[in-house]
Amino acid sequence: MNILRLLLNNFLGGSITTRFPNRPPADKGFRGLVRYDPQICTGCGVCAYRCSSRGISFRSSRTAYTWAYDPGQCTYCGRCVDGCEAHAITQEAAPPPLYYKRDELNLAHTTQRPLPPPKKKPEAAPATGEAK
Amino acid sequence: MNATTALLRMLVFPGILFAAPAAWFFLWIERKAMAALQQRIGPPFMQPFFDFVKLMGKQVPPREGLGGFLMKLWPVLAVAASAGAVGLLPVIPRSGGFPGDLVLLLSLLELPSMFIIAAGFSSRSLWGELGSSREAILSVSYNVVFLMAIIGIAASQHTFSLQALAQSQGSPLRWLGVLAILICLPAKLHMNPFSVTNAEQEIYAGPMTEYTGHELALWELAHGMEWVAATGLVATLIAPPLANPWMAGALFVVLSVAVVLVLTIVAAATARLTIDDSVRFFWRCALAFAVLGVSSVLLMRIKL
Amino acid sequence: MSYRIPMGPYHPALEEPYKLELVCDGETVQDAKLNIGFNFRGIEQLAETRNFIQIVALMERVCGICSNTHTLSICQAVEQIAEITPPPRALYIRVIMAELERLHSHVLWAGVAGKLIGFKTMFMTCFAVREQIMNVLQTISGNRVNYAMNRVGGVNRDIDDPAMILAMIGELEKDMVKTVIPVFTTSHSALSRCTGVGVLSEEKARSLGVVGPTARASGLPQDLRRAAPYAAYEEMDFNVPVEHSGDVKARLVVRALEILESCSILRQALSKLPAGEIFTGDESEMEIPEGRGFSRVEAPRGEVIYSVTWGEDTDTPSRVHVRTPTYINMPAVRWMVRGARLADTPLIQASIDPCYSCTDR
Ligand code: SF4
Ligand code: SF4
Repeated sequence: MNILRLLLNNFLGGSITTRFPNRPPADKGFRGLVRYDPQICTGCGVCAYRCSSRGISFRSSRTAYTWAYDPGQCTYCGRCVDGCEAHAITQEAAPPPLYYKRDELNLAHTTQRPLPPPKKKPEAAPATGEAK
Repeated sequence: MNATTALLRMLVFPGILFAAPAAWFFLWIERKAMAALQQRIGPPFMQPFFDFVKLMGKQVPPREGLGGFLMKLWPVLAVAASAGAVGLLPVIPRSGGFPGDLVLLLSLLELPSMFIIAAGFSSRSLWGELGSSREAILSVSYNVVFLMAIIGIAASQHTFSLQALAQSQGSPLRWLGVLAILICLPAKLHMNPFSVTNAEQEIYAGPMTEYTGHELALWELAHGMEWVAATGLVATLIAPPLANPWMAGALFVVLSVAVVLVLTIVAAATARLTIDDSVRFFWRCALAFAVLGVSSVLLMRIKL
Repeated sequence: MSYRIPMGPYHPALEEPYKLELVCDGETVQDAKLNIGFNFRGIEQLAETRNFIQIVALMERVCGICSNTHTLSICQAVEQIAEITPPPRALYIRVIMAELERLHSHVLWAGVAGKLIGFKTMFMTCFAVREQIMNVLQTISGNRVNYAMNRVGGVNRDIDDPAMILAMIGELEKDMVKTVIPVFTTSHSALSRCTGVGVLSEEKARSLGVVGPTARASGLPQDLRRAAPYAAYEEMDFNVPVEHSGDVKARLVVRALEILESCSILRQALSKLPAGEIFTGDESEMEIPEGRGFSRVEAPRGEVIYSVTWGEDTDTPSRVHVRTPTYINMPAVRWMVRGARLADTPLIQASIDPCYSCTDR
């Protein structure tokens, strides 16, 4: 009669599921959406080198570099975050947000490279729209 | 009971107009209770109705020829038969009825499963045929027990009228019969442990595999009405006779819901038996009940 | 009447696309034919375009359930080529992850088996228990399915609070012992579906070369954790459960016992967790030399083999070959289903715990 006891406990215990848009809370170490800080980024391109799923693409020329991120491709593995020595990218400790349009969360930042007298001049120019 | 009241009972109360919402309500109770036993939230109250509406709006592939016509026909007939069965239930005492309506109720309860078998074969799908043959084998087995139980009950009261049965007092033979009916109900309603006909892990949806749209919606409705009729039959048999019609009606609903809950608990607590195990089980049951029935009849004779 | 029944590639009972063609006589199965390859994604080929950091994340996607096994094997193979030895703490964390994964995989399997015999309550219960394991995994690694714990030379994340994880394991074991295992082993209707069904004899098992719990349920006492210890398994004390009847029930019992063994390994590993670094080598300076690495890991389903060849002066491998347990176990299903009832075939094929996403890659 184990099963009946199990059923009784289940009944008394109440439900453990939630309705759709609600989600269980994430731990503090959760690997979620990648956040990028163009002020800190040194433009080394290591993050794109480490990304297996091509979630981060990094295009660079002599005068500027573009860091672009596509959460639709990202697998939230956290390799880019581990590899960024400047700590310019972090991961949100929350499940990735729901989105309803393609590329809605895409991010792209173009930063001008510092001119010979080393002085950084960061300039954020969202190409495909900011998050949210 | 004249023709008008018969028609009213069939169409309004407790016929189709009552039976359809009742069917959805019972389907909801079953799903919600199952969810509660499995630590889930379960569907919202209107879900079975929403399902029905959604299915109604779906496109049905064109079905041609006699086979297509039959496939369209079976769900309609199933709804008609189970609505008729609901209509016969003596929910309110002294509302009518005629001698022998128990026999009619039994045949109406039996028809949906016949139609399911026919539907499976006329869909010409492999899964439909497999499901139908399973249903056929199963219904042959459980009906022995089911009919024996009903006949035993009727014989113990010397009547085939539902009205008279509802008004009379219980007897040991009657309780035995109710037990036998309860054992058959999971098979009749395709519930665990006898859900072999629609075992989706084995044969997809069985006879229903080829059905979509409003036809499937009608099948679902017929299934819900079968729930109402079958649990209502049990409620009629176990309810003590009450004079107040409102009380009687309320008691009827409470008992039916209780039967649904019992069946749900059984379904939640068991795995699906295979078809041969199910058949073996029912024939063993038939044997046991036959022995018990005959001996109790003999005992009654001796007492007289 | 003789039927040819296609089971799959789209089937409500099978989570993954593959096709089992059954030749049936009424409800009795006479023969079966297996078609695989519906889930082919070309991962082995793709791996040849990935560097040693990316390849770990890529191989993690070979399988959704034993993702850690695949990263562990590829890391071991690459470490063998580059002659890197991970520090002891990393090896212990690898054992912990591997055992947690085995736990959740076996519980998931029990749930799926419950679903296949129409025992939905069992399914829900198993998944509720599995959710606790997933929480432990998420606390440790930051994700529920693809843990991204292994890297070449060690692991990525440390276990900061073994005591908390130990408490969670204790809770989990209580649930396993109190609800899941007894319900499965005492439910009459569940047992009647498992006993004597899908028998694979010992000789047949040996000649087909089956691996993992399928082999252990047929009386072959093989387990890589014992036979060729990797990570820190040499320092763990555990039993290898073996059953001899070879039916579905034996596979169920083997897995149930393995769940308990896993809990005990986890407890040992967590309490003995050595201090120190969690990886050796700096990934930004690491170079993989030319060479060949070979690694075997006991996945929840059996032996996973990786053979990695690295070319000269490249940062991508020239060949990655993967052999997964299901690929070896699946032919055995043919012998298991012969003479079985049609109703039992979903359960029989599921009893080897097939994983087609691994097999097709
Ligand atoms: S985010 Fe970090 S790793 Fe990526 S380019 Fe900027 S500094 Fe380099
Ligand atoms: S989290 Fe992983 S997949 Fe996502 S961008 Fe970073 S490296 Fe790429």
